[in-house]
Amino acid sequence: MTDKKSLLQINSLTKRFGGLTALKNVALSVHEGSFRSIIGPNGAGKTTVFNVISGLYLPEEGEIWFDGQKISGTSPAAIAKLGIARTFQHPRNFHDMTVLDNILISICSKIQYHFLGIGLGIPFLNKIVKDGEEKARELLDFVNLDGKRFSYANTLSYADQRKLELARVLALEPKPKLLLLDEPTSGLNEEETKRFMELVYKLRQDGLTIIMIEHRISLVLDVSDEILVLNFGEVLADDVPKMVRNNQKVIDAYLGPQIA
Amino acid sequence: MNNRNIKDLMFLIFIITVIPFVLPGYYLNIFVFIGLNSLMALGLLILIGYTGQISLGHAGFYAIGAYASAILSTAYNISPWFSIVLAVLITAVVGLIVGIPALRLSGYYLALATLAFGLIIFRVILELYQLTGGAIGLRNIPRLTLGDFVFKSDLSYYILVWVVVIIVFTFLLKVMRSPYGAMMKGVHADETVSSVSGINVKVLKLKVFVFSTALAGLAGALYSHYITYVGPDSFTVEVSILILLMVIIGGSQHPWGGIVGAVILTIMPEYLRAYRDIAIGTYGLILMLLILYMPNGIAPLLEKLFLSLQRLISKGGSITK
Repeated sequence: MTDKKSLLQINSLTKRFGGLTALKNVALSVHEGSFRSIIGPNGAGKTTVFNVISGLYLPEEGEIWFDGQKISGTSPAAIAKLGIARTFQHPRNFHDMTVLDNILISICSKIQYHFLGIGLGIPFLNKIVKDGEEKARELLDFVNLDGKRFSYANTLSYADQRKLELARVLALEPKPKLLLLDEPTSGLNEEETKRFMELVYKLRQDGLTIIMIEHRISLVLDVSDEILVLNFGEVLADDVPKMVRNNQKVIDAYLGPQIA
Repeated sequence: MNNRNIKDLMFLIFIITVIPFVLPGYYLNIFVFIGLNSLMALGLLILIGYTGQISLGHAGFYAIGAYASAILSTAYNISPWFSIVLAVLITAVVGLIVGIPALRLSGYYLALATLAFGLIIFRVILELYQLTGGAIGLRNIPRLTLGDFVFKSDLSYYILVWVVVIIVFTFLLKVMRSPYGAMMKGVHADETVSSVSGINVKVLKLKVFVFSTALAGLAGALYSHYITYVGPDSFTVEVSILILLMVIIGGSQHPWGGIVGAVILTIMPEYLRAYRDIAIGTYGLILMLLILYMPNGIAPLLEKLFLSLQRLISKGGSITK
């Protein structure tokens, strides 16, 4: 395992909210190009792990390294720019905006430093916007939303909102290296889940490293290279699917006997 | 520049060109003030309608621009053109200093902090009378000149102010209708999603705030060289509130909102002058009705009206085709 390059490295991470310890001594190492799932009962701290990685929460102890850089303590915007994209448990987009504008915010994030330049119409900024629009359409094409690019996000179906969110986070500039999916299939029916996961498989094939929080165990066992099991903020198991499925502690805490 | 922006600009330029020919001369003076108010309202519009910050202290920045240019051009004999530029920069620096701590606040707290700032500036003008003339104000502020030409007549100043408004409007149209406009709205709608999208929320908000204050400073500086007198009464809290009302009545999320609001709320007081006592009450009533029945302001409604008119005309024209 050590010969493969570790893209994300989390060392003895602890996060407390007042008296509550949401994460206790969590360690995680994710190799480039791998597919990791995080499972565990509600309140186990799964989303907290994502919030700490993406910089929304500051950990009390421990360090997070990404692509050779220490990212714990830096801002969410800086972490996003290093190449970490994340989705939310309930899809979060800019609702009162068109689908296209939702994507352009991330794709054209470079122009955020050029307020005056945009107003003055400086050519290189116009080019960023023009290139961005092209890339945005490719991404929308990928998630099959190009036909709805001028629709407002709040008019989309739930499944389309999930797809928009995926396209929106993939639109990060520079291109993301790690994708954090927080329960990407919750609220979707079987057919929609299948279609959404097909997109995820394609991304995986293209070499994107993915960490997914998910409750559908059959799906998790099927797609993951490795699975991290959290329980009350602590790591219960971190192994390949086969070993996790047979781990007695995991069966007792989460899976229940029928799956094993 | 896209077609839509060009259409909007052409429309504005058309109206500005027509006004001196169709309205009595008295209106030019009013339209100079509409132009100055438009500058302030446009600045406040991107702040309120786009990044979602409320300022109740824009009269303070208006005052800083006016006094800075007045003092620099009288006490220091600096050319008014140059003093206007300096005044805008000074206002922007003050905007930056106020903005860094103030933008840690949001909503009502930011409104209160900026309100307090406006009150403080008003006090400072009165107290620093060696510099500002206190309650008496500053007189004999030099007019703008271009060679031998002096911008003295209402018409000349009308042209000058509206050229500035058109430049600012062009600038803002480009910003609002670019992904930067989406970023500004995004920061307002969801700071978390904006930040994980790689947007530095604080910096973006601060930039828009500083730009907004600089525009108020510009309006103030242009004002001082038009009236050639500045006194504290022109920069009260009521002015801040009036500009805020312009933005809300005009439509805070519509590029035309600032100008439409400025036209309405600059002309209306002229007609309500005889009933000054009920003016504030009338504003309040209009505001209430608007928020109830037209929460997006008047500008979007005018646009719809204009578009359907255009369709009607083009339909009529299609018969001949």
